[in-house]
Parts: sequence; C-alpha cells; structure tokens
Amino acid sequence: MSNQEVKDYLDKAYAPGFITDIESEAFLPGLSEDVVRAISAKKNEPEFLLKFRLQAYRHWLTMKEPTWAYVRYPSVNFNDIIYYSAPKKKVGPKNLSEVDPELLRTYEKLGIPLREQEMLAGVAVDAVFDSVSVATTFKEKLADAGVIFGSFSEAVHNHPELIERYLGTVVPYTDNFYAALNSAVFSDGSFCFIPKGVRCPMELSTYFRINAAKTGQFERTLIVAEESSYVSYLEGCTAPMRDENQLHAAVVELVALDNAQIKYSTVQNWYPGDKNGRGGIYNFVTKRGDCRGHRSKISWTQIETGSAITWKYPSVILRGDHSVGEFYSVALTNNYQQADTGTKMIHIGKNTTSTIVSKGISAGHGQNCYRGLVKVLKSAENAKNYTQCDSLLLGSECAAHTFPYIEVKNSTASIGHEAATSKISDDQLFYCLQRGMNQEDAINMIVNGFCKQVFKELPMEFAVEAQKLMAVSLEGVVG
Amino acid sequence: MLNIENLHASVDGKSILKGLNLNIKPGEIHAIMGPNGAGKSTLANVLSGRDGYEVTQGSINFKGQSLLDMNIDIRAREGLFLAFQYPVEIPGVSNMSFLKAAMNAKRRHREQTEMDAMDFLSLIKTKAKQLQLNEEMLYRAVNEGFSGGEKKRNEVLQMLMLEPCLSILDETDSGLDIDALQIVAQGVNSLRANNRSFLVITHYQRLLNYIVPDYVHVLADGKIIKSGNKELALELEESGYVGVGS
Amino acid sequence: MSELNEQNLIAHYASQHQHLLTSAEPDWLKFYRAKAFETFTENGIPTTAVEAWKYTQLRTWHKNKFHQHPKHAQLPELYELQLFSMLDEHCQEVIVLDGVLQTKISDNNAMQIMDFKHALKTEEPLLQSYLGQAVNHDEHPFVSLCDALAEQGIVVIVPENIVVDKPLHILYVSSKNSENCVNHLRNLIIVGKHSKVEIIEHFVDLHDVTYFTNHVTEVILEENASLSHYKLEQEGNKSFHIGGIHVKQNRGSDFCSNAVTISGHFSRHDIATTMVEESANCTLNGLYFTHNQQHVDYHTTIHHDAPHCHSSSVYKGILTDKSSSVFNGKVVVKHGAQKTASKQENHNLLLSESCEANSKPELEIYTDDVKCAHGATTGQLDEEALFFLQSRGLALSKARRMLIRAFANDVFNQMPSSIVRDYCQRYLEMAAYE
Repeated sequence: MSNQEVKDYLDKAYAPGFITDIESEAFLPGLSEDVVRAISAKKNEPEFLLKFRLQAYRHWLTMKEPTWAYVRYPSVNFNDIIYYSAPKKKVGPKNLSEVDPELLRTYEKLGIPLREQEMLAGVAVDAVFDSVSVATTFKEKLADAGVIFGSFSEAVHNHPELIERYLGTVVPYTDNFYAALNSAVFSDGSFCFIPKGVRCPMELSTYFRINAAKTGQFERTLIVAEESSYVSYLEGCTAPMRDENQLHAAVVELVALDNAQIKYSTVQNWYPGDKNGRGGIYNFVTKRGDCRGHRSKISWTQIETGSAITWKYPSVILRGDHSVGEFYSVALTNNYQQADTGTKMIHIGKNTTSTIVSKGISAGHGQNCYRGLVKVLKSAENAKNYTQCDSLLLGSECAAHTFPYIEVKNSTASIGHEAATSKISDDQLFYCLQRGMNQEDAINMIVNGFCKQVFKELPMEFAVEAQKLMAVSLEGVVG
Repeated sequence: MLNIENLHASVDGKSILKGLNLNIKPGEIHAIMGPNGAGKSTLANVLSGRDGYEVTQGSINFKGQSLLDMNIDIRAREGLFLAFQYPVEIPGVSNMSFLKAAMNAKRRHREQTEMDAMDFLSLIKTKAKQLQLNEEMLYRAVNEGFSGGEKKRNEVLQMLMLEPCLSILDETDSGLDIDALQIVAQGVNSLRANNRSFLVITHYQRLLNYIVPDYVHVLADGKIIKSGNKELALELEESGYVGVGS
Repeated sequence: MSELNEQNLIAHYASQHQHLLTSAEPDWLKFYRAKAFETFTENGIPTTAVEAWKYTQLRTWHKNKFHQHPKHAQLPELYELQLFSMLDEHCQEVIVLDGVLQTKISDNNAMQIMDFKHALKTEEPLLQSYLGQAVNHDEHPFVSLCDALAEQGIVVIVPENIVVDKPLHILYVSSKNSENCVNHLRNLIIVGKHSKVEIIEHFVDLHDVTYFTNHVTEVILEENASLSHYKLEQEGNKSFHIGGIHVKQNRGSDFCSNAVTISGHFSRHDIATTMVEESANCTLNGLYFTHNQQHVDYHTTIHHDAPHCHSSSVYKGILTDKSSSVFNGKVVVKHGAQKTASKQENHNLLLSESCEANSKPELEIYTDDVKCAHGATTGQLDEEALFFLQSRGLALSKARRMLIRAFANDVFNQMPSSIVRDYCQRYLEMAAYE
C-alpha cells in the first residue's frame, strides 16, 4: 500500500465523543496534606484509610515522575488538578435525538444496543427505564451467591475489615509515582469479593456496563478471590469515552488465594486526542495481580485503543506454587497516540507458568512500545514462560518498539520469547482486494486476524465488539 | 469479454510484455503456455492490477470497459478472478469469513442484498464437497497450514463461490498430483458456460488434458508468437518451445 | 558506592588526563580528549540505575584503583605464548604486551599495522579525519574515558582494493607487571573500498593478576569493504575488561563480528555498528561460557540508518557455577530505512543452580517497510534429548557434553575462519569437561 493511501486513510476524522457538563461540588485545585485529609473526611473514612492516604502522600512528595517510558508529553502540573469533585446532578441530553449524531454513528458501528447507547451518551438516568430493574436483578443474584460487589466507597463502610486487610498489599503506595498519587487521593472505584468456593454467577462485565458510572480520575479497584472461587471481570467498554480530566492514574489490585481464578478484561477507549495530537487522556495505570495461593490463576486481557498516552503494565506475581499468570494484549496507536505497555511476570513459587501474547498496531504517527519483564527468582523451581510479541506497522511515520527483559536466577526455568515486527503485508492486501474487498475492509480483516489470539480470550460478546472497535479505531487509515 | 491490444508492461523499469494482443470471447477457454520468464505471470498480475506492474503502452478492454481504469477490487467485483500461483496465508482470518466478505463485497457492488448466513453456509459446504475439501478447512485461517494441493483447491473453491465471468488460472496445476489435478479440473469445468471465459496459464500441457482449451497461445519474450488449437499444446509438449515461431 | 569515592576516582583519572594535555600531542587530539573527558565527568561512572548498566555492578571494579603505566615488561618466553598462538603459515600475528605493540612495525603490501603513537607521526591527517567517527561518547562512558586517556593502541590501515589473505591475529598479553594497572587501548581499523580483511583480537593473561583493560576498537568500513572480526576473551580470574568495537559501515560494506568469552572475571563488551549507507550487511555472533563468579555483559547495538540493509545476530550463553551473564541486543531502525531486514537471537543454557542469565533483545523501529524479529530462550539441556542419548548407550556426562557442544556449534558454524573456530572449540572442550 502506498504512503499516500495510508495517509488518506489516516486523515479521516475520529468520531468525536460527547462531553457532559457536570455541575459538581469541587475543591479548589491543588494538592496538600489538608486536601488529602479533606477527601478522607468528605468520604467519612475510617482512621486506617486516612493513615494510608497520608503515608502515600508523604511518600509521593519524595518521588519523581518516571521518565523511562517511551512517551513524550508536557509535564503535568499536579497543583492544577482538582482532587475532589462529587458529581451532583447530570445535565445530559433528554433522549438520543439530542446526542451528537457522529457519536451515535460510532455506537451503531460498534453494535451497541439502543438502551446502552442511551446510558453511554449520558441520557438522563430516569429516561432509561429498564436498566434499574436489570441492575437490581443482577444485584440480587450476586448477593445470593455471597459475592460482594459495589463501589469502593461503599465497601469502605460496609466491609472495612476486608479493605484494611487487602488494600495496598499488591500495589504498595511506595510502588511508583502514580500509584503513590492514587493511594493518596483516589476518588472511588470498585470492590469485588468472591467468597470461598463460589463461582461468580455471571460475568461482572454485564453488570458493570449497565451501571456504567463515571469512575473518576483516580480510580481504585480491588478484587479478592478466596479459595477455589472464580470471577470474570470486564472494565471499560468499546464506546469512545470522553473525560474532562486529562490525567488518569488508576490502581487495580487483584488477590487470588488457593485454587482461585481471576480473569480481568479491559477495553480501554478513552479519547485519544485529535489527529494533530491535541488533547486526549493520559492514562497512567498500575495494575497488578497477586497469585497468592497455590494453583491460583490470574489472567489479564486488554484491548487498548484509546488515550493520548497509555502507560500500563498489568502484572502477575506468581507467589503460590503451580500458579498461572497470563497477559493478552492488543494495543493500537493511531495519529499521535503513544502507548508504552506490557507486563511483568514475577515467578516466585514452584512450577509457576506464565504466558504473554502482545499485539501492537501502529498507524499514523503512533508510537507503540511493548515493555515486559519475565523474572524468575531463585525459589521458582521449574518456572515456565512463553512470550510472543508482534507488531504491525501501517504507514511510514509510525514506530514500534519491543523491550523485553528476561531475568533468570533459577536454572530449572524454561523461558521462550519471540517477537516480530513488520508492515501490513502487500501480498495479503492484494489477495483480499483481488477477491473484491475494498482497502478498508481488507485492512480491518487482516488486522483482526493479527489480533485473533487475543480476542479469543475476551468474553464472547466483547470479542465481537472488539473487532468492530478495531475497525472504528483504524478508520481513516486508507482513503 | 477481454480484448488486449498491443500491451507493453514493465516491472522495476524492466520491460516484460512487449506488444501482446489477445482476444477472448464469452464462453471461450484460452491457454497461455511459454517458457520461464516469458511474461506469463506478469500478464496475470497486470490483468488483476497488482502494484508494481506498470503498463507503458496499449489497452485492455474488459466487458466493454477499460480495465486499466479500474482498481483491483473493482475489477474483482466486475467478475475478474485470479487463481494465484502462490495463494497467500492470512493468519487469524477464517476461510469462511474471508469468503463471506468477498461474496458480500461483490453482491453489494451489484446492488444485491447480502447473503443470508445459512444460505451461505450450505452453499459453501456443497462446493467444498465437490472439491473434496475437508469441511474443517473452512474454519481454519486462510491458507494457513494448508498443503500445496489444498491451497490450490481452496483457490478453486473461491472461484466456484464467486462465479467470475473471467477466471485467470496462474499455474494452478503446479504442485498437484494427478488426483488433485482432476478434482481441480472438474471444479473448473463445472463453471464452464456461454457467458464465462477462462485464461489458463500453464507451463505444462498436462492440465490441458482435463481443461480442454479452445485456443492455445505461445508466449515468449513478452509477445504471443504462435496461436493454435489444443493440438498446439501437444506439439509443444513433444518438441519444446525451442524453434516455435521461428 | 559513595559519592566521595566516585569523585576520588574521577579526580584520579583527571590527573592522568591533565598530564596528556601538556604532552606534545597535536592540538586537535588534545581538544578531542578534553571533550571526551568532559563527557565522561558529566555523565559520571554508570550505576545500575543507568539502563545500559542495569545488570552490571561496577562495585568491585570501584574497589581497585588502577594505575596507568605498568612497568616495562620483558617479552614473555615463546613457550608461554605458544598456548595462545594461532600462528601458522595461514595467520599473521602481532603481540601487544601490557598495551605496547611489540612487533616491529609491520608494513607488508597488504596493510599497515602500527601503534597509535607511530600512526600519529606518519598518518596524522588520516587519524584526524577518522578518529571518533564511529563512537558515541554520550552512550559509552568508558569510550569517553579511553579517548581521554589512551596513549596506546593499534592502528590498522587496509588500502583500497586489497584482499588480505592472511588473517591478522592481535594477541593482547597481560604480564604480571600489569598488576593493579589499567591499559587504555585505542585501536583504529580502516578498511578501504572493495577491500577485505580478517582480524582477530585476542585478550589473554599469563599470571592471573588483577588488572583492568579498557579498549576501544573503532572500525571504518568504506564502500564495499568487508571485515570479519573476532574478539576472544581468555583472561584470568581477577581480570577486569571493558571493551568495545564501534563500527561505521558505508555503502555495501559487510561486517561480521564474532565474540567469544572463554574465560575471565568481569567483562563488559559493546559491539555497536551503524550502517550509514544503503545495502550494508552485518552479522553479530557471540558465545559466552562463564564459570565461578564470572560476570559477562554483552551489549550489541545495530543502527539501521539507511535502506536495504540487513542484520542478523545470534548470541549464546553457557553458564556454570555462580556466574552471571547479560545479553542486551538493540536494533534501531531509523525513519526512512525502508526494506530493512533484521533477525536477532539469544539463547542461554543454565548448567548450575546458582547461575543467572539476563536477556534483553530490543527492537526500536521508526519506519514501516521492515521485517524484524527476535527470539530468546533460557533453560536447561533438553531432558528428552538427554534421555534419548542415554537410551542409546551414552553415559550421562557424555550425553551432556554432546548437547553442550551442539549448542555452541550453532555459533561456531557461523564463523568464517576455521582457524579461530578450531581454536575456540578446543578451549571450550577443555573448559567444559574439566
């Protein structure tokens, strides 16, 4: 494909998202110990949590913003940020006819049901008749199973002992700059607890989507799966998400005890900025799972198509013997998007196994970087890892980088890593075109084929949506 | 159907086709034979519009329109089909969804409605059976892990599904044992009709025992140097290309 | 390491550097040295916080204060060197003793071989125009240090249109006089248009003393020039070695690098090539075989700055005892370097419980029409293969040996020179089966 063709494709505009006005009760911008205390007070938090926040804040003051990632952005002024704002009342459109038709077109392309379209577009909640009852049904079903699932703030009040026991045990506040910041000022998030022996009766994705609430800038998620339990959780959705906050610094902690399994899937489609690289979300996320128990398993699947800058490395600490860690990732950067993403697999227990499959797609001026660590400690007898990371290039202005770190301190380990980078194949394109497909469909088909290994790890309904999402995100790559 | 006049084409600045003329009428089967490097595959690539093949002179008329003015995909939708000498693998894309996308692209072009999934499934299964292709191959990624013979049969399967009016078979016989060759030939023959034409490019006469051509042309050094009926192929088999046309 | 310590060390080097600035060297060289030293002091001595030194601690290196000028040593007896010699009718050999070229200046028809000081007298314009073309002081602190301090070195000049039929064997010998000394060696190899040469740089140590070698071999390959380069590290249990080969490749040139660590204590090797013009080709192969507390760090860097260049690289490690290794292979494809093809592999074999292998194959790609791949594995000998060989009657030790040999042979078989190949295989066999 010629560069001109690629350029034309790229020039097609991104379907702009929709911004809701939120009339909110907010603090003044800026961060200080008083602000941290005030956040905690506002939320009426127990003493231990305030202590946690303050320790995190004091530690954060001693830290420097990391610069090692292959991302470039003007430095963030942390004193320009408003650290607390409670949404009071949404003033949204009354029905879909008031919603930006471009956005609706995107929803339609993604095949999102009408009711969900209304939710996502911010149509006033009362207008969405069904959702409340649907959500209630789900809630009852979960409660019957003994699953605790709700907002983080709720859990702080209803189950403080669980929060105290697990918060910060996977990602300590000292972990990194953004994790420290999040620990000090996190707004809200989700808490999920699956008791011993319970298989969560549904994909928490479904529930989550119906309840697609504003998650805020400093989201905190904690999922604990007790012995022999199972949960599948989906965060985000395929619809484009707008947010007035440029910086997002979330922390997600997963704990899996003996024989427990957690499957965590993410579809991230925050606003990526315009085609000249103006605007867009900075997404600096710390996600880590702790396979604390024997034979436990944590699996990350992520589809990253949004944000101006993505900085995230969902990781697994394979502490328990026979524990399993997985990371499946598709990261797409178009226009001026930058992504530095990958994973860390830390093998500590015996007979631990990890699998990494990373697919990076760079288009336009996109910068895509895989950064991954496979570390086998001395104690990790018979550790196994297989890593595959492939990059696909669309257009001569984009970039793709691969930085794997392999550190092995135990001779019984068996580690394999493969990576390949190439441009989209002219032969494949020609083959598709000769069968009558147009350039855009052909590219989408080849790109989706490239991502197949990862898509098949997603819950079924999302795999289909993810395919469509790729098409929408690549829109404009060919004219 | 297809009328080529004084076609000159080059690859990387090197002139390959040097004044080729060919006229194919509806319902006819033409075979093009010739030694290696004569320009056989270049002709197939020029007709299908592949990048890197530059037409420097001459014209090609396809069903009353100028073929050279059409993009690759438009040519395909207008009914020009190339059975590849080296079919391409597309990892992660199932054979089935690939064909479905191709079918629907063509149907949309003709302002027909998209094919119903059930109808499509039963049609493709019938055709696969005809070519003795294992049904399981429909669900595998396009040509990935297929044997040489399977790839060629898969090309013919696509041809049967898309029902092109002009099929170009580029060395479809290469790498086929005699059983597979007969299956492929039967597939092609089942498509023969008054309104369809075929251009069979081959190095050996063998295929032409099963797909019997109306005309045989000898291509050498970018030109057709001799034309005749199917007997010409046998002659070539015996005496080789040396001396033909001189 | 405390800051005071580092400052001490830098001050120590600064005085040596000052001494050179008052010498009779030409001004351009003094200026070049001054700039190099400035870069060195600005960046400081790297800690593990510096990405390129992440897995290599300079802590024990710091403990030693190496002096610059070893006492003049007697040339060792021939029998002492025989062990390391590859000298036969097929090879030309020169000896560098404690940093000083011993052989009479060799100027056969094929090429010129001389020491740095001599070259400064006879080939000053050449030196001035070539020195520093292929090195990057910012990225390599020890190159800066070497450029600031080195008075010794070998200069090899191969004129245009010459195919040198005998490989050149440069044998760097450390005598017992080198105890607690440092040798900064600044080598320069220029291969003229359409010329071809094979050069073996071979580092050996006769008396197992503590010393530090810091060498830079800068190579300029002119159009269609070809160099097969070998670096053999065969040093003692107390040696410190930091060295780099830095290559600039012009149009159509071919660089084949073969690095083998047979023995040593602490070493860091940089092999960096930049293909600045089209159609160049490079092959970087290496094998490190580590024992005891040995630490080996190989950093390879391949810059594809121009279109239609090819590179391939295979590095293999065999680790025993408490040794540790680093392989960091970086391939950078610059914007516009279309039609690049690059392949890179690193495989590590862990033969003891306490060894440690770190591997980091990197790709940085800024253009689209490329085919780049890398692979890495770390593990033990294949259990099934071992079982199979035993079932065919081989003793376990023999079966292991056979598999280790096969593992190493993948690298040896890539070496164009059978002399070096045989030499390495012989030593490896000796070391492997003690």
